[in-house]
Amino acid sequence: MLLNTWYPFYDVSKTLGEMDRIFDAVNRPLGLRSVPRGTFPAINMYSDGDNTVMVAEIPGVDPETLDLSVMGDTVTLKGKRDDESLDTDRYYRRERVTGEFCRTLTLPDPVNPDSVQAQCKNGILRVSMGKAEAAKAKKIQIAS
Amino acid sequence: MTTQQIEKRQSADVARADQEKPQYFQPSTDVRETDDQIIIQFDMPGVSSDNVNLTVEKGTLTVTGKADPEETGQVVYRETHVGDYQRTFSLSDDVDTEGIMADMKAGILTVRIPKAEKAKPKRIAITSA
Repeated sequence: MLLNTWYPFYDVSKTLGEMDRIFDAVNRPLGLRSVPRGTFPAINMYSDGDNTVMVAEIPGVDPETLDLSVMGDTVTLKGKRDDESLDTDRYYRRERVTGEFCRTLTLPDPVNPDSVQAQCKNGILRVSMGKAEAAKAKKIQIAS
Repeated sequence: MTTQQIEKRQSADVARADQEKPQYFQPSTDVRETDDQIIIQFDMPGVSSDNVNLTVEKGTLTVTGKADPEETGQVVYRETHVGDYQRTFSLSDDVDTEGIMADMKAGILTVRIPKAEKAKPKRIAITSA
């Protein structure tokens, strides 16, 4: 019965579906960095209720040597990744970034500097920052 | 489209891609040679030493690592995706595959492959006539 139903826009919807599929393939994140190659460390930022969480990939960096500072709505991460190779070593491939790095990011909301907590595990630095009182959502009581 | 919608759409794409085939990221790698060994270092942030797998088969060294998920709440800004790592290297005959040692520390996997005796530099004594 379905086959007998006349559906005039079948081709149109089919073409649109096809186009969606093509553009989907273009938009799909390939696991490539959206920042220039060599930007170190890579940083992701999440918003979790009243907290802003920054996650930075810093494999091999000693957390003790990191310099993390928060001011208003900016966060700065400074540090150094040591190069353990000797001058006599011969490189065949060198993709890992070494040396000093410094990145400053703007946060979606100002944060309270006293609420910042940071921990480092398996080369991932996780910084949790509580939003400043002024930036928190407030529930307004409506009088009837 | 708002950023939220784009993000939602992208995560749906990622989920779909995940279903199609396992997605692997290539870890950044250094390969260097010292006098008596080859050192390969992989950057695999988020991978603990229990979740890394190293195999050598028919002269091919394969590393896979499973990263711990890092997602919390809503994504505000993203530069990388978290996923599993995989990378393969071919080894030459000049290495001693029996003596391979590997250690994982702070997200870096270091693989040390000793050179075979025949490939090590030798000092030749010169006799005077």
